[in-house]
Amino acid sequence: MAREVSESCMDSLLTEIVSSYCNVLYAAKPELAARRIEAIGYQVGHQLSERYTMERPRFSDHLEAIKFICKDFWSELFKKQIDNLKTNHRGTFVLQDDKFAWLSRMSGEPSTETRGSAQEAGNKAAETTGMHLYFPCGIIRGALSNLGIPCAVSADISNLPACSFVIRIKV
Amino acid sequence: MIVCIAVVGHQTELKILMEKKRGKWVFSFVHSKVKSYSISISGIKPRAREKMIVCIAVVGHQNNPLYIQSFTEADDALKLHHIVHCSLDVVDERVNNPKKSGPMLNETFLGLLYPTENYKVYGYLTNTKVKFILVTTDLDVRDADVRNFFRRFHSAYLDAVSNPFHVPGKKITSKTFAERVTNIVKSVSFHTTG
Repeated sequence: MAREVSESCMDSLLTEIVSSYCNVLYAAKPELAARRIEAIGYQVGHQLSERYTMERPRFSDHLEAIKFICKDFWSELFKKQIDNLKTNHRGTFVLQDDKFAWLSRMSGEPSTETRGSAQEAGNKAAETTGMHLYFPCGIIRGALSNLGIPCAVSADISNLPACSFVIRIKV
Repeated sequence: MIVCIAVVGHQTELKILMEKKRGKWVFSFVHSKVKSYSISISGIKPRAREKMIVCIAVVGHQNNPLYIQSFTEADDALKLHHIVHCSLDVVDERVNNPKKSGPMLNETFLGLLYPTENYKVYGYLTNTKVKFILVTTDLDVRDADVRNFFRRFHSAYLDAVSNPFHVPGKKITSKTFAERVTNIVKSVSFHTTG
């Protein structure tokens, strides 16, 4: 009974969400737009984690839950697993995805229309790309908090198309 | 139908015991002079004891009720709420115990709350700390049946929660969910008789 949706539809939907929130709905307030997008991601992650943990026995600790996110959860969403997981054993985890699906079709080159120095243009490009990462951060945060782990998630795009998500568990 | 006959003398103490012995209802009167009278009524057949699901409840991770539905004609909603509430304590106890059991808990008799009816209460705990409580009337309930029931109920719950109009933490108000649950209960009830 499962219905399917094409990946390109998902990609287009997400780009459009970011675009309309940033340029139309909260044009003057990018902070607010980011928070709204993250909140949408939170609810989605909440519901998805409910669905994908159905068959599994309960997790015994935080590491198990994070490993679940890295393996099963990520493969349900993106058909691949997280490539690298690092932790400092004090509540911070770094999940690195070498080719993040939703960024793979975005160019990292700044648009030729922007004036000003190349550095500025580069920053603006990074900012716009960064906007697209609030949604997956929200998904991870929603999934973890539904499993009983309150946390804060941020993304790091120092080298595209690889992308790292930093999870800080709130004690 | 005679349920009880009481005779109380001027200074006699009377104790009336209702007991079920070998399928018959036995009432014994204990007179203060150590004489006991007993009346046994054998014509009453207890109601056909098929496994009947009395009530199913979903409780969130902060022990907030998300959904409760009862399937008996006599709607003792309060009594069922009470049963569900008590069973939550047992669930918490099991969870905090370091024994490693899977997501499925079995709760046995909650004891005779009423002398005429026995209830079996089953619990199920998901990974997201949502509890399903199932109250059913007594019979040899097979483990496999209850697991099966919970699995189907879980997937109906998932679909209800994935509704974008559902606010997590609030009660489930979807009619589709209620219908699906009723169907699941019906199909399970007919399956196990005798």
